Amino acid sequence: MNNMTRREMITKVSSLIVLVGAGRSSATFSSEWEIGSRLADLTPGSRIDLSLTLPHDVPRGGVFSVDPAGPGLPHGLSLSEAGVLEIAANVDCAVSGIVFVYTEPVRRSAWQE
Amino acid sequence: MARIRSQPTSIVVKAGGGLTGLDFPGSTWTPAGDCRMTFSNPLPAYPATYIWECFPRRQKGFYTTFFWGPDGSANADGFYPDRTYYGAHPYPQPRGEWNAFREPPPLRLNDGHGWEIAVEGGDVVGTRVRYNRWFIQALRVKTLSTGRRYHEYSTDLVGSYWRPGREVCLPSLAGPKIVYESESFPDPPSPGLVWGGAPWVEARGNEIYNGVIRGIRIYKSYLGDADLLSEVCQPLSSASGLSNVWYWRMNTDPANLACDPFRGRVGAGPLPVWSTTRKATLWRGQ
Repeated sequence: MNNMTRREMITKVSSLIVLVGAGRSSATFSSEWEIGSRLADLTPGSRIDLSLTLPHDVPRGGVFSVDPAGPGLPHGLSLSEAGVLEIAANVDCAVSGIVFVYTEPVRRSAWQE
Repeated sequence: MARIRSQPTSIVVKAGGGLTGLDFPGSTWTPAGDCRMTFSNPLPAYPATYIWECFPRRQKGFYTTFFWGPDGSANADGFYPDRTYYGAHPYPQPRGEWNAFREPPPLRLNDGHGWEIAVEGGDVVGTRVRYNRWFIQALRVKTLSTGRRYHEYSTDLVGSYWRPGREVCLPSLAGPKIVYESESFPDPPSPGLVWGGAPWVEARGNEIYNGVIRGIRIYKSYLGDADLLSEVCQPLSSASGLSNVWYWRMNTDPANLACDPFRGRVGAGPLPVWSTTRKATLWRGQ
């Protein structure tokens, strides 16, 4: 430990913080955002970018997922980590109560640049 | 590393693409006849919340958006002013006589319409109907602690900028509304919830909606203001809406009136039927 540079130490501490954060329960969220009615009339074979629905003050580049506590995506719909919701052709479905989760990217300090 | 979540969201994908609705032909279609969509086992009359999207076209005379009331011909004309019924529609009004209170003047050829709550044997008329534009409207009804019945009809919840499929949707209760308290009456012998045409015998075929109705959401509770506003643009987005929805279908389709799925739905949910062989036609959005 004594041989660590200050930069190495901060990097390791940051990693620990990330690990602690990753272990939090899925019910821990800092805020909610509203997607609105954008998903209420989707067309088969189309895609929609959920990152465009994020509030302006939320850092981009994070990871999207579906809250496993609620209903999952209907068959034929898929969500990429980047937030692109893709609807397969010939899908006809309706589901309510889906909650999307967005995990902000790790903030890299100037020491880590 | 912060995590945020979305508010509960509804996803609806419609095969065949795009938006659909029920395009009712109006009372002057030929050959004349009845056209109405009926829930023959409706939810209780009170409390309830109804939200719908509509695009009225002008016609002379009466319209029916929907009625909760007697459905059938148990007496001479099937109309029971001393039994529970209510509806929310455009109501014919001569020029210069808006806001007439339960005293509808005689009709004239160039009449317009006012938004109306039909209840207690009368017609409570509010602001003037604008034709050929989209509205999102809501009727909320409940029984007060006094036993009287409260009706609130919000006739323009989103403003003229809105149309189906538009992402911008900013609901407000600051727009026009009609509020009316009535006496409490017993239910009619065979109640129904009827859309697009009046159920009583003498009115059948003469009060057909002229325009498009879609995005029908029916809740078995009186939604509070915040919940109502949440449901206007994002159906089933509020906890109260999600737990009290009775029927909903955003892309209404005359060939398929089935209820859209929701958590807790019993079976396939309520299923309305066309009361005659004549149906509204399919409206398709852009």
